[in-house]
Amino acid sequence: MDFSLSEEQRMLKMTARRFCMKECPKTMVREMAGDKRGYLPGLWQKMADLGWLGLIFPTKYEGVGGSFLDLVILLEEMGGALMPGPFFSTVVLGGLIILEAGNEQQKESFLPKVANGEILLTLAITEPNARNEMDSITAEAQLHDSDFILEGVKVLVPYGHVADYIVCIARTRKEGKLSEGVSVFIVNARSQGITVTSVNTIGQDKQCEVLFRNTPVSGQNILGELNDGWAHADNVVQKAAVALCAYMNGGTEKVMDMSREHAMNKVQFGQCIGSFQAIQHRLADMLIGLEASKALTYDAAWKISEGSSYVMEAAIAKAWASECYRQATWLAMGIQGGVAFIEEHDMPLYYRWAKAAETTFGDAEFHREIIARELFG
Amino acid sequence: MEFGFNNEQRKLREEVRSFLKNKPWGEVVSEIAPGYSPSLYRKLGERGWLGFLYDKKFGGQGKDAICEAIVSEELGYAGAPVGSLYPTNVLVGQLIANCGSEELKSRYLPRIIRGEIQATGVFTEPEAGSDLAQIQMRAVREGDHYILNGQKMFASFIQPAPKYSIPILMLVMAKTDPLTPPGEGLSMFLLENTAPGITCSVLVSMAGWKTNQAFFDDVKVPKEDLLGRENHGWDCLMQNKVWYWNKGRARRLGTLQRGFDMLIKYVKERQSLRQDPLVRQKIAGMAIDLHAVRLLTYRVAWMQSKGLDALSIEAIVKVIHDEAMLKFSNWAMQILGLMGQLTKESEYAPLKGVLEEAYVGEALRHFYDGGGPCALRSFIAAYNVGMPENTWGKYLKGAE
Repeated sequence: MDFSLSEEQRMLKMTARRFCMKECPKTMVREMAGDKRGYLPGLWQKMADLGWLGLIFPTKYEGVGGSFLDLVILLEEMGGALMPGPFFSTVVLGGLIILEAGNEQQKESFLPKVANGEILLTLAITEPNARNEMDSITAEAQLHDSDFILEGVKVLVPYGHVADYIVCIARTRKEGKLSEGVSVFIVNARSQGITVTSVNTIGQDKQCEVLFRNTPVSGQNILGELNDGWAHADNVVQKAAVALCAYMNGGTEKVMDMSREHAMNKVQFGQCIGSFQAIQHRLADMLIGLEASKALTYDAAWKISEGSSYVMEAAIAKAWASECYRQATWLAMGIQGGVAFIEEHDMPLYYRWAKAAETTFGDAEFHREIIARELFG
Repeated sequence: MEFGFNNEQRKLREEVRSFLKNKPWGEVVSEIAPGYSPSLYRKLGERGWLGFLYDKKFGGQGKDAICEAIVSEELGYAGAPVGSLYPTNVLVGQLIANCGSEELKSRYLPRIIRGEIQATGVFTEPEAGSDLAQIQMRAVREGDHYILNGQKMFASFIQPAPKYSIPILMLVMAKTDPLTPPGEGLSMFLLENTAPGITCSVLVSMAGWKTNQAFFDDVKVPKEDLLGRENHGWDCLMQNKVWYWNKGRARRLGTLQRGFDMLIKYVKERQSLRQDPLVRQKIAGMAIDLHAVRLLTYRVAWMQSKGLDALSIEAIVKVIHDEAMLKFSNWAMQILGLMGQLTKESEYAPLKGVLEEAYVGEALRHFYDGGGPCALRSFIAAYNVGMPENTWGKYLKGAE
């Protein structure tokens, strides 16, 4: 039993914290929300140089060979800074699914390029009538000789507008259960028939609608076996949920820190408002939620790193983190008062993002049902 | 990071579990919650399971808080009648080990480790509850003795248990320097509950357990039985505050796990419940809380085993744990529906009425024992978040 970070992990955390402070001020976060690309290529290259884009890839794919736990540590810092950009979509979604489901040739051709910052990836799962990511897949990939023709609409595809490759989930069997009839494809974003349009969301990050009309996909670009894509997609969504928990925990911590500072400095009724127990108890509640959330996230990430079964732990972590972050933004708004509602304040960024992250990869209710399924079938 | 148990820890858990399988406790003294079996308690001592936190020279094992937590969790899971396990083995025992003279240590630690005595902390007073530093009980030095006068509240376990006449070792905090402000001039004394001059009046809790008001009327304590230095009792308690808030956490984790497992079985057997989305949401909510409590409980134990300051996490896990227990029994009773209100005497009581009992009993932990939800949050705000100290935090300077 050991609840501490290793020396390398502490270094990673420190480096990430310093990097985020220097490179990711809130002015940049706001600027990127209005920017067409939504990220700074120069910054992206710096992250590649630090080894972060290949953090979870083995060294033979020019990665760092880090664990999922390392990824979680990095994401916690990024989440605190609300680091904008295609890190999550490229590394955690697109990168991870190629790493886990890809064949040797696919891994060799994509992962080093991701690690070096040469290509951006994303994952297209969600469709307009889905309540949660994996609810409904109607996009279709029809076999023509040994290649496929892709047809369908995907929404909420993160950073789809800048992705070089879109990993897309589509039905390859019209009838029957989704778990037996979908496949995963790596689609070149510049293939014919693809239209990408940015959509506005509460989180103000770059999400896109992606239309596939008669888009040809080489049979070589299928990830895993034909009709066997469900398990791969499900696996990557659950792991991404854990990764997102770390990002959210970082946000919760930052929201708490901002509230703490405000409570110490703001004087009302002749004393700093932090001397009032009503305020103190809100701060305590944030910390109580956060400590548990971090423990649950690390535990799930550790299970993933060890290669053990993690479904229950991942669901527990996402259920907790989702409510904890959103709750923290509510408590923080109450502490920080009216100024926190003004757009120039940092709170609106967190307030919006907490809600977006809550619904992404399943909210607490969704994950509680997964837990119940694990317990009762 | 490594969240699993090592082979030695797993083996220990297996051993304890198999020992407890056939409920090896014979007759139980029911006056002490959760029941007390002297023979079981001694058997635990014989196996070395009460000695993890103690030095080998007193007969302890010189192991760590993780082993202690594993054994306690299994005892809780089995519902073993271990009497005042936590106050004896952890609170009073650790205070003696960390602050006591060599003489007191050799007098009491071997007996605590062998499971021969029960002990309890006697701190609370009518005017010293959450603000424990306000203790008023007087202790006046007269020759080779201290003379104690005053009143203590909620002194559990100290009423004489007539059937077995178990001596209970009390650790009493009293004011030795009346001219000092709260939290100073306090000292701790060790004495048995049978000492002349102590009168108990029983307070029956809403859960049916008994606790006591104790009146001290010229109670004589030899000067050798002062624990630690005179006027430094508070510092000693604060230095061991992490043990004070522990409150037998791991045993209660076991209790929660047992309740959860029973409820899962109950729901599994009933299709209408098993398939009800609202029931499923509640059960999953319990599973989440349980997992959080488990992780944080062992995190505290691990921190203690490494000599780290676990106080900040201990206060946090106490809040989460207390709320989880109350939420569990509340949700569980909602799932049982109307029949859930039946007490254990009724043949129709689902799950033999244990949830009704838990719902009433858990109020103790949640609202009072060792700091209620408000006092703990004030502490967390001051100690962990750095807010102005206007409750607990201001007394902690002595601990640093």
